[in-house]
Amino acid sequence: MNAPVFQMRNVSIDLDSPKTPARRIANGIDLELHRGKTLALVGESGCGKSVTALSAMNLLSAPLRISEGSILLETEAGREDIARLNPSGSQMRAIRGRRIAMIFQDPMTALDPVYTVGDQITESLCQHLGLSRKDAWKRAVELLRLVGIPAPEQRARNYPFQLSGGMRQRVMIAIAIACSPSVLIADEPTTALDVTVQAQILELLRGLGEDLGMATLLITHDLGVVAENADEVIVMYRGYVVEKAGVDALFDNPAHPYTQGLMASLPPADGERIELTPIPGQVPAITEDIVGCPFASRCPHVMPKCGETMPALGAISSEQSVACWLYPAAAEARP
Amino acid sequence: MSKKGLVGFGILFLVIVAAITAPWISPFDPNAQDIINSLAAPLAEGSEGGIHLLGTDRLGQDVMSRIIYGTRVSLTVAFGAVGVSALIGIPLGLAAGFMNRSIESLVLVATDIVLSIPFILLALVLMSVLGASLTNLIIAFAVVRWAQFARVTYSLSLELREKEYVLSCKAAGISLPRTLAVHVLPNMVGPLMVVATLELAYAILMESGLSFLGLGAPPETPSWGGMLQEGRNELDTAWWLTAAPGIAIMATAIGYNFVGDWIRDRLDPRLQGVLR
Repeated sequence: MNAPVFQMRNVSIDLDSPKTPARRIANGIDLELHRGKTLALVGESGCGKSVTALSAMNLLSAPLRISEGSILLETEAGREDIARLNPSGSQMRAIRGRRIAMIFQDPMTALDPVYTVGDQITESLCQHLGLSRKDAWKRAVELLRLVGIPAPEQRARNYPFQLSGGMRQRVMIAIAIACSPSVLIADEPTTALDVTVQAQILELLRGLGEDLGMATLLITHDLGVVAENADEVIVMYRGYVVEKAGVDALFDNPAHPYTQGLMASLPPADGERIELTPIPGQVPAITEDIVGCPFASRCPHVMPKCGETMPALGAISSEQSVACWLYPAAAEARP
Repeated sequence: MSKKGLVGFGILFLVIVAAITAPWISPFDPNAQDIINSLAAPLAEGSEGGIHLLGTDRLGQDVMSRIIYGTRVSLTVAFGAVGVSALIGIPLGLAAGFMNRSIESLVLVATDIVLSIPFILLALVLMSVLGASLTNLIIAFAVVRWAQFARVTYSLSLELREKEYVLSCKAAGISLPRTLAVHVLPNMVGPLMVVATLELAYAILMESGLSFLGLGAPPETPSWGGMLQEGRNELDTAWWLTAAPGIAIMATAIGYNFVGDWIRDRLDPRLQGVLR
């Protein structure tokens, strides 16, 4: 595979607190995004998905901060470590929306209610590409057509409240891809939409990613979405990456007990009626101090070693790695 | 345009026209005294001809002319005072809402202090130090009432800064000043308009209160507040001395409120289909 356009290397995120020592929200996250490919980031609520997504754009604000690691973005000028840039500085602003764009969860609140959608698309075009208002408007109409909005000339003059949820999410996508970014981060882009619209939006995202050569980071808790749309998957639990695999490998052979638990709690697609097995317990709170593996308290295969140290991610095949002591050949204590 | 909007703009238009054309439309010189005709009832004839439409006061000055000239004080003080307060208060409220914690607590403590001092006392002190003039009335009002704008702007900021479109502006590489000016402020205009209209009415009341205490508009300047307070002594014999400026103040305040309502509805795109 060719060189990744975007890479997070050993990124850790801390939550500062004036009274207690800083809490680590994400531990040594490693991920790579490739042109035209989709990487899915999966996990249940509170496992650090969204924080990781925000850190990818250097959008964390106090009390959260990137405490370690580098975030490398490939640009024409070469490779740049955006974790080192001032989060509110002009260099970072020139990258956001231009090189890396983001789509948010709720299209109902992510558009400004007082401007037409056309105005909101042109804003980013004028800002980053220096287009004149007239040219930007033309381009905005083209973008609306590209994301599958019928009668884009008229729609561009509509206010967000005049559009349905699915249409608004399409507008969000149009804004995100306006400046042809190389990386697109989609933070649960379909959670707020109904199921039939979900599939259309995901298909649109996937098609655009391939056509425009964008690398997509898809954040979701829906394994069905992952199976349909991702090329690679990262499973997160309580701030750790516990498994990383190609999408087929993951669904054929889930290795980490947490991944297995997620699969077992999913109804089978063939409609067979079986008993679903939920994962007992819940994600330990961020305020709890944990020694060893954070999943140990809920794990059916727990062993003494789990309560002592957390293993690092180790390869069990060419396209699958897992952080679990069940695989002694691959597991190694984290440095 | 709605009926309310029409009425509001109608009243405001009349007030503005009266202020501009006062020297030509006033039947008498507002400060010309006609002692023989002291406390003449409305529609009485003047000793040198002409009709006192709204009667005369104790010095025989024509009430109608003084009401017309009073629009000048009323407009200057109301718009000047509210404008200056808004210019100070809104940026401070935005700074408190969107910048760092220390600026936030500084602004909040300052608004609490200012709003905890009885307004009339602070204004009295300021006016007696600065002297009675219209400019000083505006300054005295703004020194205190900026806090009202700052507080409302701040509380609106708390709501807006959690909106995803503010975060998505950040994610689109739009600078904070631009985000505030283009995406945050327009979303606050409705509530701020309401505050401004209330403050306009408050400014008129403050002007009359301070004029009563002799620290408002200079005595030779005809002002509605001053007339109201002078007329207070003759309330049982000459009702027109309080009724005329009272109705003028009330009508203007209602006009401001109607205009405020109309602007608020107008700026909310959700209501546009309904209004047209």
